[in-house]
Amino acid sequence: MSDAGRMLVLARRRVADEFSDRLGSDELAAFDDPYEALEALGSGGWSSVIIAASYTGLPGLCRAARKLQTDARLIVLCGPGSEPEVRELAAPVVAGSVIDDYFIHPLTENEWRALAPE
Amino acid sequence: MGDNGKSRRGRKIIILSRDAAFARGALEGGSDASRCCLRVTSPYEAAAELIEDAPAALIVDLRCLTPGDLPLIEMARRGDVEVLAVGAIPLGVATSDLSGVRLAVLGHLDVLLDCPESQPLAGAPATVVPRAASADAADLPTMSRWVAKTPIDRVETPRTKTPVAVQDPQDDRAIETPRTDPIPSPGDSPDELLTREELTALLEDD
Repeated sequence: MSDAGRMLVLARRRVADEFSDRLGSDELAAFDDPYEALEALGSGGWSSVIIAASYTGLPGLCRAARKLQTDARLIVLCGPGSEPEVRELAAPVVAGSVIDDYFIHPLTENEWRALAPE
Repeated sequence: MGDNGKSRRGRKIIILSRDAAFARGALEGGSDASRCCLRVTSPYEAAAELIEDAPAALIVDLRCLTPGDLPLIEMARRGDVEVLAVGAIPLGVATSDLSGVRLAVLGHLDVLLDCPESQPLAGAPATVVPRAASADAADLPTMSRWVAKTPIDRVETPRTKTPVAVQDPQDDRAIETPRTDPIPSPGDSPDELLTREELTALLEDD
């Protein structure tokens, strides 16, 4: 099965369900365990990867996801409190930013549209 | 994956540590120049390396490992990747969780990497001392040192003892008999906070 065009969501169940309700479960694979998600990232192509900022060691997790999915849109979902840390990941460095963008949860309608698979 | 898979991997070695000195010390003096060592600072990055291109070995600085990172060990086990761990087993991690992992000291890693897995770890003592995983690796010693079994709350005991010169016990002249009646000095005891002169001066003021 090809995963091209699909979205991988790494978040707690409640947030994953929200994505499933909004974007449809066919286009989405949800995980709440980072290591299971990394294995899925290593086994297929994904157009978008959404990672909740609530995981410990978020920068390393994002770098690992980027390593396994160099072409995917990598987006972090965070709360207002963790925005400064997440913003650093989105800042361009020499080799490019670790993540492509971040959104503050809960998402606005425009943000949901921006997240929808292309 | 069998031996053929291992030989295909070449000599890529992943070192999981936030401590650059640890990585330098890990394979210091190594004889195998063909080894390609890559240090990662996050267990997730180590997992990504395992997934992308399984290495010959994974060296884990146990200060980086939390109970939530045990899937990394399981992943290495499934991929038949040799795991060498250095340091004290973090709280929340049982020795059974590290089944198949070889505990080692920093200076012996190079020897162990050349030693087949089935061989006993002769000459490579490993002491396991449960200790809390540190959140700040920068505060920890750069080289792995095995610490004495000390309760966690007593680790930072202030250093009050003065160094004592090592003397030959055969040389009786070198051994001094300890004083059993030390001369008290003013202020050493709560009962002797003031000298007699100071006390007299105070009473005269009154």
